Amino acid sequence: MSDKSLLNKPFEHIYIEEGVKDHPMTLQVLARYESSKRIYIRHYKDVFNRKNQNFRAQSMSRSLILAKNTGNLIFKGSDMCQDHGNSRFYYATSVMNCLFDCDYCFLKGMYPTADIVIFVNLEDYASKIRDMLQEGPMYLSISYDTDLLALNKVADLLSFWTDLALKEKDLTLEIRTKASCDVFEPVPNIIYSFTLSPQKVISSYEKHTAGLNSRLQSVIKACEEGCKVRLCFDPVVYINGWEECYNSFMDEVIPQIPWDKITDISVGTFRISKEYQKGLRSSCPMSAVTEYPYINEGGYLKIDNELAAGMREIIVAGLREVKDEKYIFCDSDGSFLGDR
Amino acid sequence: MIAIFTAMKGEAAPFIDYLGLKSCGDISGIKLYSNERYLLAITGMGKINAACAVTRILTLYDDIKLAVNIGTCAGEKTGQTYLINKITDEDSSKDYYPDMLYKSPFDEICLHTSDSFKTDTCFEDSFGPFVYDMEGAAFFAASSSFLSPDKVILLKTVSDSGDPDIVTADYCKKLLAVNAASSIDFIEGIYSLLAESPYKEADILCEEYSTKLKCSEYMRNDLKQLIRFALSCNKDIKSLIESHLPVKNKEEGKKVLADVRQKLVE
Ligand code: SF4
Repeated sequence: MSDKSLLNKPFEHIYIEEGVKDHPMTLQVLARYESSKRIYIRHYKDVFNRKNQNFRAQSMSRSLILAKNTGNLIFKGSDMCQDHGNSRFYYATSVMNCLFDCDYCFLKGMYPTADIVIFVNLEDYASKIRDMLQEGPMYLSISYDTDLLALNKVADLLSFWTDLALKEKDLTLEIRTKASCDVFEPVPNIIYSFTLSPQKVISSYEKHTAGLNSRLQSVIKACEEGCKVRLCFDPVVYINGWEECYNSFMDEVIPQIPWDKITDISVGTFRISKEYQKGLRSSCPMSAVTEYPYINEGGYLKIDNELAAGMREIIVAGLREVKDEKYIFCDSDGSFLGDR
Repeated sequence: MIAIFTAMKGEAAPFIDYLGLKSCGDISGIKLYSNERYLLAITGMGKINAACAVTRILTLYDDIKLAVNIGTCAGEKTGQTYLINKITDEDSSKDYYPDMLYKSPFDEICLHTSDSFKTDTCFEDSFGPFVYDMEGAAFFAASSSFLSPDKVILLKTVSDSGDPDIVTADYCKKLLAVNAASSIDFIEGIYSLLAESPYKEADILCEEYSTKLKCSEYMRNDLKQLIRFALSCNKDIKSLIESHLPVKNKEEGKKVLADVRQKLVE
């Protein structure tokens, strides 16, 4: 698409389920988008699940959908996600889709649309989680189908989750992000996970996300505030000149991080379920990260093993110099360093 | 190509004039007008006529990139042209949603469609105000089997407030002529944003080298992917392949593909 001035601004249109039009969270979002056009709908799936949608076009001008989740609220973590030793690992889908636009994002293969859904009935999430906590402590990723920190300017979801974590000590929340942020609330059972990528990867593949420098400043700030901080060198992706790119990235990152304050680190090369490949390629054609001729291992697409090992080694070798191996997790792509 | 669908000749006339379209016959009673960029089809009134015409045309013309339904409707503000952002089929209670990606000069509204004429003056329900026609839902349902919902557009101009008897061909023509230029400007803007296939260069290369490498269908898919990858990261796949040519048979071609792949991902 050439002339972006012909496109509507993101969230110029907000679809609102009739049943939640007076929900406090709906009203909060609408107050932030007063000039947006409001379209009242019966059910979010009438918009979200339309056939034949063009993710690529929609991601230039996303719409927002405010709805009630009457289906599953909490899901068991997938094999492809690092569970960091937590056997009761779950993720919550209070939001579907992301403000950012990473070429390699699995959401492009998973969802039929680029429009973003916010489920406003967070009170139902809280009661479901309380029920589940009866059976023991749980680890919950709340930024799995979105980047929650980025979305916080649209809806103040973070304060809901922070309040819940403060009340429920057996609940550990992970908030994964590629956003920059300078206000953090240190809560012992919230882990802020920052994804770090070389600037060249960010510029090529991670559209609208924070630059490397801003991410590093956010990491430093979160550490200073006393937050639990995880660093994710994941996904490590193919890029032209990857060796030089990742080596100089590590040279840049290593001296800046207060390593003694880092809770743990995950490292993983890109992998994605085979079933998402078609959607990924059609929504992001002619990007080296989507067009790479991946190998198929057990239904998952991966970078060639030898190449993946070489990429991982650049990261891990750098990390070993500053952090004990037991804090480094690489298991989601088949290898494994850290203790359990 | 852009396809415009109208129900009646009176609705088509301002666009035939404005775009300088020429009659190009008819298909099963669907009158057609065209120039090198536009195809205009007069579908006849009602949902069945609309659905059949749209399906017929979009099946026959696979180069249509944008489908636009232009016509009159009943509503509160006579003369007002709207871009439709939601369509409710009153007969089935099913809702349809075109994507609203493009800036338009028109106000937006919901459209209700039913097979019968509207003779009352109520144009608001619990979801908000609406206008009313007899084709929109069927046009959208049929078009969106062929095109994504960002490429299906409905522009409706209010002709009456529940008094269909005043809607003559001449009246429609005059009413729609007012906004014909701005409607076409809007459509042209959208059309200019519809990108060419991102794979054009890759497809040309794939065509050339699949023959030279004596590819089977399976190998051809591999080759296509390697070419797309190479172009996406500015690698010189032509030289990589050329250095192995000529090949005698499929087996040799396979070896070349394996070697090229290896070199590309190094
Ligand atoms: S930040 Fe995460 S969820 Fe958002 S687009 Fe990127 S990969 Fe997807």
